[in-house]
Amino acid sequence: MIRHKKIQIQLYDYLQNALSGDDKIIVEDHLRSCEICKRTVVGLKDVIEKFQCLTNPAEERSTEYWNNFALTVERRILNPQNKSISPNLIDQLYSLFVLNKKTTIALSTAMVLMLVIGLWYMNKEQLLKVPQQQASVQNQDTALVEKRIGNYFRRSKTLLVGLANLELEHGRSPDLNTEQSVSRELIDESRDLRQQPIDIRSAELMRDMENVLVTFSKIPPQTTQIEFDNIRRRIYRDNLLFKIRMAESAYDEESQSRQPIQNNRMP
Amino acid sequence: MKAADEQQLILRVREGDHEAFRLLVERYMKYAYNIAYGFVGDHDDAEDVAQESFVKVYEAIKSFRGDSAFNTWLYRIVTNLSLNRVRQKKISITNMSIIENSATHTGDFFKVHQAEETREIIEKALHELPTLQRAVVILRHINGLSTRQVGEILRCSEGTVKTHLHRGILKMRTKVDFLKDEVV
Repeated sequence: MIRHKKIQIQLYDYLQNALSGDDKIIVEDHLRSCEICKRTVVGLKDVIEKFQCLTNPAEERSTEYWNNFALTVERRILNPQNKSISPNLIDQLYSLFVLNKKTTIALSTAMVLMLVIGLWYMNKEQLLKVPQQQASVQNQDTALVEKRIGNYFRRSKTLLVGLANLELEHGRSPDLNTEQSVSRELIDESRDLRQQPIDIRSAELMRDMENVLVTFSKIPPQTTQIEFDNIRRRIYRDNLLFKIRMAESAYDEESQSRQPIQNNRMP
Repeated sequence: MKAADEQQLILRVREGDHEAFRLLVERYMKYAYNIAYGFVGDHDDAEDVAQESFVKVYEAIKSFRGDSAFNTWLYRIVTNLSLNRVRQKKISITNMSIIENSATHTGDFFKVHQAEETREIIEKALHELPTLQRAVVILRHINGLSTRQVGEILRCSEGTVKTHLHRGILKMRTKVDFLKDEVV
């Protein structure tokens, strides 16, 4: 089999008479016994003989043509644009995209890459915008909560001042319906506000205020002077009016300057 | 033309002698044309490629160091430009083949002389070979260059040239048989 392969490679040279004497004898010996190589030789010889049928293309041109050939070359050297055939731009572009696979693949890849980068950049912009929008919404929410806290402290102050100045007639039960109604509204507001992200000290003050207001709102209509005085003493003891006033002024300044809430805004 | 005379001509061309260049062109124009025609299979394209090759030679002759013979260098330029042209014209050649194939079924083909029929079949089989196999067959058997010179033009060993010749011709044999059957 090794010998057969070696001979196969030499068959072309054998037909071209390019083998040395010894090699030629070896090939001829092999050909006597190998049908495959014999068929290969016949095939090679058949095609090589057929090449004789091919005409000499240069001979198909006239003598005049060849007389002018060198002159045409010289003209092309002197004027590079003077070509016999000048494919137009459309043909060149067509051949660039349709015929040149490598160029087409490279251009397609570049376009896909540019598209991916473009999409990535747009997404990046969107991702940057989303936190900004979220921050904007958050700022609006914070301003609204601040406004509600300010209102809460203002109303609380008014209520506390009212309670402090309330003069009760001796032996008669005071009419506290309006104050108790306001108290319940403030309790609800306080509970709701403490669910919001507010500063700790405001939340603590609201809780203290709520404790007092809950007690106050539960006072029965026929309350005694003693029970009412206990509430007022508690307000004085906790210094609630002063704290509420300070908190109110802090939130008023806050809403005027529109500065973010700081944890240490409370006195 | 002796090698020494050719060297003199090349030196004169380098110095800008147009007459010397014309002599070089006249010496090799038919060889260049035949090589180009072998690849492109069309007279107009063969003319353009051959002329363009001489323009390239004129432009680059100062860089020609004489490592190989002048004609080897020229034929390498012709081969490269021809292969470029074939690549550019691939679609039109395919279209042409379709037209030719349809003509073979009309019955007119049988009226054509047998030598003409064989020539067409051989040319068709040749143009369907892979690039390197086609190049070695054209340079060796159409233009009659030696296997050594073909190797120098294509920058490969003589052994490689013979391998491509062997494979290319056997492929052509199969193709020729197929085309003959198709005609019958």
